[in-house]
Amino acid sequence: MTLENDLKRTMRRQQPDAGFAARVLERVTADERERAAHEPRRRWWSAAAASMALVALLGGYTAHRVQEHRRGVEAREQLLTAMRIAGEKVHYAQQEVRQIGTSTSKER
Amino acid sequence: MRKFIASLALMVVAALPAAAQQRINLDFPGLADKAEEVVDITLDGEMLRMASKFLSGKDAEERAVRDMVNGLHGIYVRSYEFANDGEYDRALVQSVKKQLGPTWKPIVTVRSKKKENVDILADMRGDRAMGLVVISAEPREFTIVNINGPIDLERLADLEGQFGIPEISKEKK
Repeated sequence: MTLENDLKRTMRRQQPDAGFAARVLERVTADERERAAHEPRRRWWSAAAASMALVALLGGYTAHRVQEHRRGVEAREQLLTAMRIAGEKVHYAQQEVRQIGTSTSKER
Repeated sequence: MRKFIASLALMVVAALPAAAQQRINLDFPGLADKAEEVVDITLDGEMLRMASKFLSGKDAEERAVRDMVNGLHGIYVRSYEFANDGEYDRALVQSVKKQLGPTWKPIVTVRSKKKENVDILADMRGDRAMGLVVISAEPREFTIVNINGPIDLERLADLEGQFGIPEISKEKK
């Protein structure tokens, strides 16, 4: 029975002391004030992070474009050189064949 | 559905000869070390397309090159220039020719005691040349050009000396 009485005494409804509600309200408003005070700084950091990410993205893209351009110009030079060599050799062979054809027809 | 699968299979079979074209092995171990000047160009499909984009559309010759390389699968050039006569093995010419399949036909063969020997062989599929190999052998120079894809010889010969590109910049040793 002692346990039951102890429990009843412990769990009994109690009225908060005077000023409890005022203290709770004060704490809530204080928290809100603190959060509001940090808000501009948080926003600034978010904007800065977003800007940095954008700059990094744009920088990466520009670097990629520059590299692609360099590769393209190099490939173009190689292509022109390759076609020049190929054209030169084929042209030479054609000329030789034409010369033989001309000299053969003159002999006739 | 069956018709679709049948036409798809037909397309694959039709595409096979082009795909079956194998790149010729143009690696000659040790040759570059002996040579005084070397040109080594490897332009596969992707690089060719990229190079084409950088060719001027205003310049007639560059436009001609762009039209010609459109549809090609690759261009490979190896050119070696030596300081003295006979510094490379002439059997290299045969080693290249041996790699070519039965569809490859000799188009032009030039034999000269004074100048260069040139062999032009084409991969003939019907009446179309679907590939080209040019082998030029001089006492001090050995050059091989392999063009993979449909090519017009006449147009290629017309290109020679037409466009204002600088002299071939060989890799000086």
